[in-house]
Amino acid sequence: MDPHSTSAKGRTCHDCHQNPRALGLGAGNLWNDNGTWHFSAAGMAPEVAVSETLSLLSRQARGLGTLNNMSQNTPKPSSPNHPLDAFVDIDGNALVHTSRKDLRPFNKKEIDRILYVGICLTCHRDFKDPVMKNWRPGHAPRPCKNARF
Amino acid sequence: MPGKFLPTLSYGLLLTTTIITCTCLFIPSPADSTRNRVDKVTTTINGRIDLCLSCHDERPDKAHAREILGCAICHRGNPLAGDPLRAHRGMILNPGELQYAGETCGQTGCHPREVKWVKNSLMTTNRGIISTLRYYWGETNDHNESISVAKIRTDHMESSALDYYRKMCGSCHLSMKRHTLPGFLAEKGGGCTACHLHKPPADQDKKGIAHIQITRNIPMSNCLKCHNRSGRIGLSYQGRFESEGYGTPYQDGELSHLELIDGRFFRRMQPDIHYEKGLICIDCHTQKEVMGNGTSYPHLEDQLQVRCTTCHTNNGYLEILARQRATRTNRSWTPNMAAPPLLNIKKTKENLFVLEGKGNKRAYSLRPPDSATCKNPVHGRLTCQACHSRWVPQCYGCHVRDNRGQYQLDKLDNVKTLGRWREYRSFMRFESPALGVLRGKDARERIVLLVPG
Repeated sequence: MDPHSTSAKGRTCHDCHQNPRALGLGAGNLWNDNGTWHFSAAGMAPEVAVSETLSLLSRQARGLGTLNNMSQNTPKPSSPNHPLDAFVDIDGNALVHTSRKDLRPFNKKEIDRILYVGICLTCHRDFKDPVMKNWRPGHAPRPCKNARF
Repeated sequence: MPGKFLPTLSYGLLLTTTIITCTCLFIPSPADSTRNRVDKVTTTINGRIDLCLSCHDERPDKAHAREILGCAICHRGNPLAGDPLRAHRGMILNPGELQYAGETCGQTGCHPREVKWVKNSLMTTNRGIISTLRYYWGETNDHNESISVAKIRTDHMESSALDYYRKMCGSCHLSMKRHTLPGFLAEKGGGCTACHLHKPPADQDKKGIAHIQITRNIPMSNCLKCHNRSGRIGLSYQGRFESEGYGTPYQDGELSHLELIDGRFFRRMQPDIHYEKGLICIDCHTQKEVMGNGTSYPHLEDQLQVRCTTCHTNNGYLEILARQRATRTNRSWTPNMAAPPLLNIKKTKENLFVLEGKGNKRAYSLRPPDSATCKNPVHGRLTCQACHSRWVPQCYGCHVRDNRGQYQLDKLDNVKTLGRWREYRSFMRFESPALGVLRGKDARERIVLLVPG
């Protein structure tokens, strides 16, 4: 869709390549561990959040515990079991249906490719940098020592 | 000739003699002498008798000037009657209503082609809304099914999605008769006049009876009567973000003054740059995009002519567009974009291409995309919106509930029926819209926005 909120200045490189929200993962923390991406969502699944909050209030009122020791034993709901702002998980599994048959969130390969650029952006900040300027689709440069993997 | 009106102006002179003869039949009888009859015979400039003109002073726009068309050619009734009762019999208050448009706006010599297009358009049939709703709600696997407003009504179709449509969306289609629904909804609908109506300013209408002006320069306010929900496009364009319903931040000890006519609150955001510059909806959305071309397209994206790159492109294509505008030859448009759209693009004396605003007649320079970023092959799949839409209203946890014990107005039939829909959401956000992949009909994949809500 075109949301009709166009600005002359586009998003920054970082806003897409280092932003889990842009990738459809939702708000949260994203990190790379030896070449593997991990994501920890900031939000909880809504039913978990509600049920846990209600249980917490009930248990606290009876002096039975806190959220930390309760979460492990709380049964997880069947659906939805992901934060509401997540369209896809870090493994590329789509979490939502869309209003168009041919519309989908990014898959695993695409997520990895977008985030790979994000690693380089820390040093090579935009298209003025030769690394970014000479980047060709499907021919990403090998990770340098600063990438740490 | 009661109940008849002249099909074209060219017949006016020919029929004048006949009409005068008929008029003689209406010589007042003694019983009629108490009636408020006209005291003179008024005619249009081609000699056609239109006695409405002897009582009515309203002046429509120049294209529908009273001296040329008279009243009855649009409003029907009996222009030869001479007394109010008979003259107003069979009269149409709003000739633009689609149920009459075929015989009024769409009569031979006026706009028959356009009326035919509009009757089959997405804004009249709501095909796109209905099929998406039913597809989204799991009532059909065919996202392109062709169910129109008329079909729902005539076939008495029933389902949860259609009940929701009737009550939550049913006021926004062109076959909705104007001034039938209550409250602010009364201003919606009206067929041709839903878009082409322009009310004269209040200071020019002291009696409150001035004739409306029919215009091709459709004011944005007409579009915004409907295009303010779902994608909130009309709101976003003006830099309005529909906020939560708390009415915060409070102003002067009261709820926020930033409130829409339907009670929703909004916050100020950065408007669309085209709005900031003064462009209105019709500067980009062409006649065929809005009214269609008679073909039953399932969704708006299927009949779009104009893309960002239509204007923000190289001079070669702008040259074609400027020539197109100068000659106005685009009569064989097809949706495959083979023929360029009719945009107000002109070439200045300095050989620069500009878009002339249809409303304000200002010239807007057209900047090509940034060669370093936009044209870089690594961004070959990106749509313009993916980067240049800096904020998007997003409704997370969007859900609805049908309260079966309560009644709600069915906007299609204007009657309250059992079942009241309420819309809920967990939270609204505007920042950093998510991206996804859309496979187009050309099998190309493009990076687009994923917007929930």
